[in-house]
Amino acid sequence: MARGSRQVGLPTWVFVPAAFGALFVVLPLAAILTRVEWGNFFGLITSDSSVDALLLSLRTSSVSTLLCVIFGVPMAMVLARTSFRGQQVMRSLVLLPLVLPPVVGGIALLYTFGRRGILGHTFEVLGIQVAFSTTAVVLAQTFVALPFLVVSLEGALRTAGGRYEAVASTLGARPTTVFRRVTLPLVLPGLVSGAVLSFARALGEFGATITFAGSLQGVTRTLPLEIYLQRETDADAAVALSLLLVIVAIVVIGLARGRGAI
Amino acid sequence: MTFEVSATVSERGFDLSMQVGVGETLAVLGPNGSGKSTAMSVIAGLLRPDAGTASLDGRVLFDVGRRGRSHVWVPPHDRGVALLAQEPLLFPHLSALDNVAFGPRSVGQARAKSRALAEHWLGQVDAAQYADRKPAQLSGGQAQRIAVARALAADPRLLLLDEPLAALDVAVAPAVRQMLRRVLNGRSAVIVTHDVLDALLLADRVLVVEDGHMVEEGPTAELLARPRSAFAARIAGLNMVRGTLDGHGVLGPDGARIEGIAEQPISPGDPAVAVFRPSAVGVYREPPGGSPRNVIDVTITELEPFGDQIRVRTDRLSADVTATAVAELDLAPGTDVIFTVKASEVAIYRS
Repeated sequence: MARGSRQVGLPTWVFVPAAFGALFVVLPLAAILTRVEWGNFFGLITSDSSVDALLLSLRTSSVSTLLCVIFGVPMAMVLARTSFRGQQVMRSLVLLPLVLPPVVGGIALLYTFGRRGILGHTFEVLGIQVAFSTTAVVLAQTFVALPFLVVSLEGALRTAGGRYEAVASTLGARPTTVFRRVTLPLVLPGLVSGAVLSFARALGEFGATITFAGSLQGVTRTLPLEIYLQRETDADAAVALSLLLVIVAIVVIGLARGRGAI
Repeated sequence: MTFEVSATVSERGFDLSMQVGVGETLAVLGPNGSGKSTAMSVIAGLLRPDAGTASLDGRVLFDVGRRGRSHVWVPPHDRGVALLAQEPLLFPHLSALDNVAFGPRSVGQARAKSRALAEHWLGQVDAAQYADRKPAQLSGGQAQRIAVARALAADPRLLLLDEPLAALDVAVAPAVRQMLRRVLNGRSAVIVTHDVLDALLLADRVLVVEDGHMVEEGPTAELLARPRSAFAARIAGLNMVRGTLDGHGVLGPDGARIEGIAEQPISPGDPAVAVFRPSAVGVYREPPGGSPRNVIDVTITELEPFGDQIRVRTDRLSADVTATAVAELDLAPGTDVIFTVKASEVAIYRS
C-alpha cells in the first residue's frame, strides 16, 4: 500500500485512545525539556563524573552488543532452523531475562560469577575478579539485552524461511557458504534491528548493573546509575544527563531507521 | 544407468523407485499430493527417507535404514543434484548474473571464471539482457529462465525440475518450455509435472505416481497413447475401461463390456484395458439403431469447454461434442444419457 493512502477507513474513535497513548509517551519527554537549566546545561554534562559515566556507558553497551551478536546469532539459528527435544523449554529459558526484573538478574549473576558464585572460585583461581568490575557491567548488560537480539533475529529467520537455503545447498554451497552468502544477507535488517534494540537495552540497564557491578565512578557507574545518584544531590545535573540519554537513544534509533532496520 | 533411487517415507505413505539413464529425461506425472515433490526432496537430500538407497554415476548418495548396511548420507551440497522449483527462488539480494554465478562461486571457482560461466548460461536461456537486474525487477517468466540458468551453471550431474512451469502465465509458459526442451536435451533430468504437454515435449520416459506409489512407467509416446492408469488417461484426455478380456472386449468390474481391437495377443481372462478418445464417443438421449457398437448408460457430472468443443464428463468416461449438440440434446449435469463408441475406435491392450 502506498504511503498516505488507506484502502479501508479506521473507526473514528480509534484516534482518541491513540492520541492519549502518544501523549503519554511524549509528555514526560517534554517535561524533562521544561526542567533543564539551559544556561548550565553544557557545564553539567561535561563534569568529570558525567563524562566518565557517558563514556563508560557507550563503551560497555558497545561491547555488550557485540557479545549479543556473537552469541545471539548462533542461538537464533539453532532455535529457528533445527528441532530438538526440549526446544520450547530452551526458547522460554533464553527469553526469560525479558520478563525477569533486572535486579533478580543481577542477583543471579552475582551467585554465578561473584566470589561466592558457582563459577566464582574458578575465576578466582585464574586471578580474575568479575563482580564489581567493568566486566560485570558488560555481563549484566549482555544478560538483559541478549533476548532482544535472539527474538528479532529468530523472527527474521522464520520469515525468510529455509527455501532459499535449500536451493543454495543444491547449487553446491556448503552450510557455511549458505550462511554467509544467503542467510545473513536475507536477515540483515532483522539482525541490525535486533542489535539496535540490544544496544538500547544495554544503554538503559540499571537494576542488574547496580546489583552485580556496584557503582564505582569510571569503573561500573554507567549513565543511568549516575543519573540516579545525582538525583539525590543535584537534581539539575540528573535532568541534564537524562536529556543526554534521551538524545543518545534518539540518535541510535535514527541511525537504525536510516538503514531501514526498524 | 546413471541414477537410481528407491526410498520409503512411511509418514507420507511414500514408497517409490526410479531410474534415469545417461542423458535421459524422466517425467514424473501424478495428481497433487501423490508424492512427486517428496521424491524430489529425497533425491536432493532435503528430506531423509526412513529407508532407501540412491546412487548417481556409481556413487552412493544415501543408504539408510537398512539393517546390516553401513549408513551413508551425502549432504545436498555434495550430491551434484540441482533443484529447480516451481517458484524461481532467486536470491533477492543478488543480481541475475550473481545468482547464476552462485553455483560456480560456491564450489570455489574464481570470480572472473564464474561470471563468464554465468554469462554463458544466461545466453543459453535467452536472458543475457537481464544480467544486471535484481530479481524484484524481473517478470515471472524471466525469473524462471534465470533460475534454469542458475541450476545449469552449477553443472549438476542430475537436474531436478519440480513443476517448473506451473507458476508461470499461460502466455509465457510455452516459450520457457521450448527453452527447457533445448537445454534438457542430452541431460540427465527428472521433471515433476501434472501437465501432459511437459511430459510429451520434455521427457523420454514417464513415471506415473499415485498415493506415493508408482502405478505406471514407460516411454512417453507409448504411455500417453495407451495409458493404463486413471490419472494418465485423464490428463492424456483418453477414456479407459479396465477389466478382464472377454472375447473381443473388456469386461469392466460393473459388468459393462467394451468391444474393441486388441493391439497385441491377449488371452481371455487376462487383465486388459480398453482405451478410446472422447472425440470418438457419440452422445444420445435414446438408444440408437444401426451397426453394432458399444452402448453405455451414464449420468453427466460436468460440462466444460474443451477447445472449440464441450467435454461431457461422467464419473468415469468423457465425450467431446459441439455446443450445438449440447443445446439440442439439452445436456446438463445430472442428465442420464447414452454414450456410444464404435469397436474400431477402441484399442485394447494388456494391463
